Amino acid sequence: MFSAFARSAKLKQWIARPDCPAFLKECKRYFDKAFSTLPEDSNRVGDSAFSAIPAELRDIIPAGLKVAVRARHLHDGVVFSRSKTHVGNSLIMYYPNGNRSNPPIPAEIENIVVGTDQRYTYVVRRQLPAPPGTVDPFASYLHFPAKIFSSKISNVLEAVSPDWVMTHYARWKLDDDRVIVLDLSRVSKFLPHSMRPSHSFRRINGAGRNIQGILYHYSH
Amino acid sequence: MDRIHEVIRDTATPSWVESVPRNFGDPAAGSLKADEWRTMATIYLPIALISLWGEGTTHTSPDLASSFRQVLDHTMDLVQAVYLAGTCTTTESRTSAYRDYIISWLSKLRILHPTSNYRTNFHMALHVADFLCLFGPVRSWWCFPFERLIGQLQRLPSNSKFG
Repeated sequence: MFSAFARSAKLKQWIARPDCPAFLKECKRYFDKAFSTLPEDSNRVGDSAFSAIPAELRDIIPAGLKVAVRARHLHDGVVFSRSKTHVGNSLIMYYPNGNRSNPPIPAEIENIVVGTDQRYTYVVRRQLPAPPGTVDPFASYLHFPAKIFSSKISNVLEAVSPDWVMTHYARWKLDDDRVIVLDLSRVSKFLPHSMRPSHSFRRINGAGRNIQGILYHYSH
Repeated sequence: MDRIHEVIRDTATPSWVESVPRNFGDPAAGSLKADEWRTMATIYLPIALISLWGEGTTHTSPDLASSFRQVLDHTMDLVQAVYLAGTCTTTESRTSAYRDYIISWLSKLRILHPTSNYRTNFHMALHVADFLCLFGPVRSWWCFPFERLIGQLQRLPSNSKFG
């Protein structure tokens, strides 16, 4: 049994490597299709699902497109949901316009839409900052990435590409006015932005798959 | 404990964060597994403790407030060390911060909790900083894969007889 375990670990590692033969990767795709609970093509939307843009999204989705509204989206091995489907999976830290030179901000996914070109867009509302003068007890702890925010979310809807998303966050309501936002990233919070891996979800999410550690030998 | 239960129950977390027993601390909840302790130490416990004892909270006397704050800062040394050790990337400055947190936690342990004893694990925790420098992030060399295998072996049906 130990041998089987070690062999399967080696196989997973091999398949994750970029120089793995395409044939093996194809086999894995079929295995995932047959046995995985969330197959790779669960994101694919049938033609009949598309309709006109819902009224509330007309300001942020280009006019003339046909879209389908989805409850969840599997992106790079991580599930994202709209808030009425699963609140925890809808809380994201994202880089506005994909600009990684500024820190990511927390937002809640209200809707997930997909166009006829199969491109996904998250429609989000930002978590509003805490009112000025709010004491943030988390500020004393440099290496614990939590912060106080307002319990309110913005009135403004924004369109976010899945590639702009850095990770999920955890949220706990402290009182009627304040929530605690805890960034769940396990990779880049304290790295200079220029050193952050660009596609690092599998390292962030702690799901334990295809994780490759990186050691940066420098000081900051 | 009520606050910890409240935080475990009401925190919105993504589905990839493993759950921990909602009745944490009760005899019925049993003891936590290593991964559950990690989730407790990096998510639920700090949120609960800081919201109870952190800056801006009120207490019946200044002495009590100061004593809670000392215990909180001490616990947060360990929380931050666990957070830094568990990240998927590491740097020299993070490794050094990890070592500082562990040293700070150990040096205050017998002052704040006089009845506690030093354990071998504490010594080992200091060496983790060396291993971070030598081998990189702990994910590359931690024992969770072996723990998973042990879990699989334990779940095998057996007649409880050896051999």
